[in-house]
Amino acid sequence: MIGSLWQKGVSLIEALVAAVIIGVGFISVYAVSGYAVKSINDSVEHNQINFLSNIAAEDVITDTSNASNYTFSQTNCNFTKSNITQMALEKINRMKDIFLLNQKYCNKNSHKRQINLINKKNQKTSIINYQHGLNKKEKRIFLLVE
Amino acid sequence: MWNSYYQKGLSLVEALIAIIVTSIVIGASVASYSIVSSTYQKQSNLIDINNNSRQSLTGLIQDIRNAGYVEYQTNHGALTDFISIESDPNYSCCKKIEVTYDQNKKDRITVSYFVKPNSNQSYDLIRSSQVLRKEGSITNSQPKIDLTVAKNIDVFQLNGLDAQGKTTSVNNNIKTIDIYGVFRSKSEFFNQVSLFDTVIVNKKYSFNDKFFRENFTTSVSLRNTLTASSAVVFPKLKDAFGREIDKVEDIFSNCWVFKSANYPDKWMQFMTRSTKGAYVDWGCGSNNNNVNAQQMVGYLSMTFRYHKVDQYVNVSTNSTGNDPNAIVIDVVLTATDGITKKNYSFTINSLR
Repeated sequence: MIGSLWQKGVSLIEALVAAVIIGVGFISVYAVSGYAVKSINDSVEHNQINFLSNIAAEDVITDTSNASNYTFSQTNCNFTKSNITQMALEKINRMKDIFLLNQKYCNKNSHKRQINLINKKNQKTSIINYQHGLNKKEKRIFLLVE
Repeated sequence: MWNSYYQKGLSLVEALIAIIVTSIVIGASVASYSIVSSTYQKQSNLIDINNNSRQSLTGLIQDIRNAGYVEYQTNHGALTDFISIESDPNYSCCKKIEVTYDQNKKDRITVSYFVKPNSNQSYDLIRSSQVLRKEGSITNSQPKIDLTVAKNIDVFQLNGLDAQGKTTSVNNNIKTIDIYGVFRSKSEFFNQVSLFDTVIVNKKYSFNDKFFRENFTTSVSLRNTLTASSAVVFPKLKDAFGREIDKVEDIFSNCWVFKSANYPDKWMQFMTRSTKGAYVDWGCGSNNNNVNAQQMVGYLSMTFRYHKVDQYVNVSTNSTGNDPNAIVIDVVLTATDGITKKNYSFTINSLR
């Protein structure tokens, strides 16, 4: 500033650049605050879906000899079921009601949230598979069914 | 500023521009402060909902899983009515649950969960517990402990399912409990009124305000009751060394013989263990001359660690005369549905 004899103060360009830098700073604060809320919301959802998958886990644990009955793929809240015991039918239907209650878990394509329970006959493991959140995080729970 | 000969100070235009620029910057920082602070509010509201739901539901699940647990050789008697779910007479939003279980030999705890209105026009979820301590012949109740496990809960519903997976209102038939909670933010969250609609067990709950709400649903199965269905698997009886019992000689060789005031001559007791960790505590006696089936029934007791089983015991002798050379013990284990049964029959060929 002192170097030039003619310069009286800050040039317009300098002032504009400074304003842009400060502006970027403020915009990033807005962006970060929005992201922070989303991330915590994600954590709430994670918690919620953990509790939801617990329903599936409890059903399998208490009816281990019919674990394969509890296979379902949840897309638009339609559950595939055939040839299963009355108890499994009742429980899966009630699970469907619960997912309908939590509407956002019912549309796989638009929200990328889903719970799948994979049980294969004659296999001793049961897999609960779910996706959720901003980055479509996938989580699996393995149950050992004896 | 002093390097220029002509310049005496800021011109009016410069000063005005400086004031405008400064006020824009100050305005932006004030705006960003309010955004950051509202973000903080929202975050703390969400964290609150998260913590409240996780803490309260995890604790509740733990208590329900323990319901009906009877400690091996407990000082207390049998535990028959260990769970009850009822509608809260004061608050239609919510239900009450009460469970009982043994913490150890002398302490039997009764835990109940219910809601209480708070100053925030919502409810707090309370866990109230009381221990009944029994040592020798002295029984006393420990002080009641009330704990607020969740704040701002708008709906707390419980739905008991029976062995067939159907909703039941009979406490003794409950095998699985679905838990529904609608948790609310502690302060207003949205700028505009927003509608939250939910249907829980065929009942509609509707809220129209600026608060944020989230549904939490989970399920828990009782551990201390047999799942009565076609899939009932009774534990195989095993002796204290983990061997399956199918012949009485096995039991007989592993029993501890001791004398009893009621049965001065011969008395034996043995402990067996089932495959799923169930302890079966048997005692059987003979007064040498004859076996009194009724008296023996009184001494046959069973404590299943994970399953509650009604028992019907029949004891008879297969010899004539006063000196039995064999005792037949027929045990019918009846599942709590009252239908599914399993027979065990043991013959004790001779008593030491």
